[in-house]
Amino acid sequence: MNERSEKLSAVLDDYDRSDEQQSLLNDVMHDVNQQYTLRRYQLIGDVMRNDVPERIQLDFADRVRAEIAQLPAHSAATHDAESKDSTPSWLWSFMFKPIAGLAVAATVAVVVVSNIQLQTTDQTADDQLATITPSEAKVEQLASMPVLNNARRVATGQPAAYQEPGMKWKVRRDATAMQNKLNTYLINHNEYSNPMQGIIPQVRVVGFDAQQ
Amino acid sequence: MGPQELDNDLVKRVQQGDKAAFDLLVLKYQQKVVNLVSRFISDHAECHDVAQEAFIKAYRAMDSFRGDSQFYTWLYRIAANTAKNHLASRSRKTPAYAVDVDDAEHFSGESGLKDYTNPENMLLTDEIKQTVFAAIEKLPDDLKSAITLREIEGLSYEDIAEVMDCPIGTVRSRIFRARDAIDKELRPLLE
Repeated sequence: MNERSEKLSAVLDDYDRSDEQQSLLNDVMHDVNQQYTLRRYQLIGDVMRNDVPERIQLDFADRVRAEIAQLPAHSAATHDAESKDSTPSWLWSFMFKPIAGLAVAATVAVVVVSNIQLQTTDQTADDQLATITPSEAKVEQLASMPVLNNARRVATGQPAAYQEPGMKWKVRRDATAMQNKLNTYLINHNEYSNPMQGIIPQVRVVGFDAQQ
Repeated sequence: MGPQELDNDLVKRVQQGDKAAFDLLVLKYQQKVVNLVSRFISDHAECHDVAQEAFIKAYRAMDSFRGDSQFYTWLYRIAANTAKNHLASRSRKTPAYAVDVDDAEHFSGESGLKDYTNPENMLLTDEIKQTVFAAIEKLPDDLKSAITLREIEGLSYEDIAEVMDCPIGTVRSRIFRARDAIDKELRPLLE
């Protein structure tokens, strides 16, 4: 883990001359934990250089990613492959399209039929379970049931896809120091941001009501 | 891998259809782009929206990037043009002072972005900054020097090795250990 993070750190600085560079990049692009680590390393550098604004927007990259996800991917590789493909397109349309259509239709039919069967089995199993009253019998019945689409993930000691701390704010509302800082800040902010400076909010509210 | 080679590698991946590679470019340049856009637009939310738009435009235009210039120069030009167009579309004037895109690499975050909407977030930003600087203070001298030379002075690993009179491998290790130590302090603030 440390070795991997060290490589990540070197990649961030454009300094990793090992052959593993490519595989590391592949890993980073598909491992959210490594992405978060990289983002925190980047954040550390930004803070040190005073490159961060008054308010850091940690979800900026996520917002861009969400927008990009809706756009089509660039397809230089596809274009290359297409240009190398010597099969004429008319031949594809003529010979393979009907077969492909049939294959898709058959697959959909199989999926639909199996879903219906699964749901039926699931419903029957639920009904059976409802009729059994003693708890031990329920456990046995449950153990004998196939795991179907009603299965839920249960908490274990170590989740399968453990996610390390990431880049979302953890607001420590119970921290007294933070509460005091926030209250002071809000009072100052309120005083300086409204045109009726120096008047406490309660007075303004009373004044407003009086005019009604 | 030399300077900017990582960018070129990532750009090539994006051009071949790998969207995830673009995430890393966003991550690398988001603050610089936001800082550049903030020279034109002072409202925090508006500035971030325009910076986001600039990245999306860059993604769309990625096929046209041929590598004749550095990726970040190309990206900064897109960001500056997006900001100018945004102001023009709202019949607002561009700043009286000239914003030189070539200097964007050196723009700091102190550009006067105004955000009155989220004081809690501003406080937490302040806490992040304090945590990072406090963690740096606690570092042993060799780690502190290595990370400072890299992040603030922008020296290469080779130059740092020369300055600190140690092998490049040691520099790499010290920079990582410094980051890791700061990261350990930073992580409790994030989830």
